[in-house]
Amino acid sequence: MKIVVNGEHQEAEEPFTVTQLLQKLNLRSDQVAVEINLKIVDRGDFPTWNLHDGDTVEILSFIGGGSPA
Amino acid sequence: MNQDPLIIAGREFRSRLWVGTGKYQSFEETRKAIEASGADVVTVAVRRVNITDNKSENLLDYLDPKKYTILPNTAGCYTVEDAVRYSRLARAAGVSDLVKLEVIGDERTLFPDTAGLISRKNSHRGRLRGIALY
Repeated sequence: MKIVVNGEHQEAEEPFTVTQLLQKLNLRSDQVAVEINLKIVDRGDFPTWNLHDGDTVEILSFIGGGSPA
Repeated sequence: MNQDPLIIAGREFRSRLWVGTGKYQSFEETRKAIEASGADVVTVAVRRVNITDNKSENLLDYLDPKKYTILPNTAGCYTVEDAVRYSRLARAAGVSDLVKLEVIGDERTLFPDTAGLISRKNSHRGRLRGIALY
């Protein structure tokens, strides 16, 4: 399946959960927020939330600062 | 430390100094500066993760949430709608249910659009709580 993650096109084999995506990207699930097709996914649902072809995923975290880089 | 605590949204703070996390050379330098400041509240920016150049370290590795109140800000947002969306995502990330709500009003100076923010945030009142306006 093809998904878009933070604007980047990615391919993955189904089934593919949010947890698996974060592991692939080397991200800690307790330090990010995930939005799929503009809907926020609860952290507790990461392990069971299956991504689907065409999904648009946004992953946000916290960085130092305020104004744009 | 101040003996007259600052209370916001039911939370008690000893220090009235709130510090940011921008412009430091390293996370370690950030950690040391914040520790030396004595501040209780530390602001951080909510940002899209750069998945093509993801550093393994994260700012949150250096800020103990038991020691500091992490206050996500929405700097970088140009509309109230975006700021509210980022606020909700910040809450979902689980570090805080407080947010420093700000919207850029001028792209060159990055001054905030405070007046516009106050007038329009009321339509989102039911969806947000614990707001510090900038």
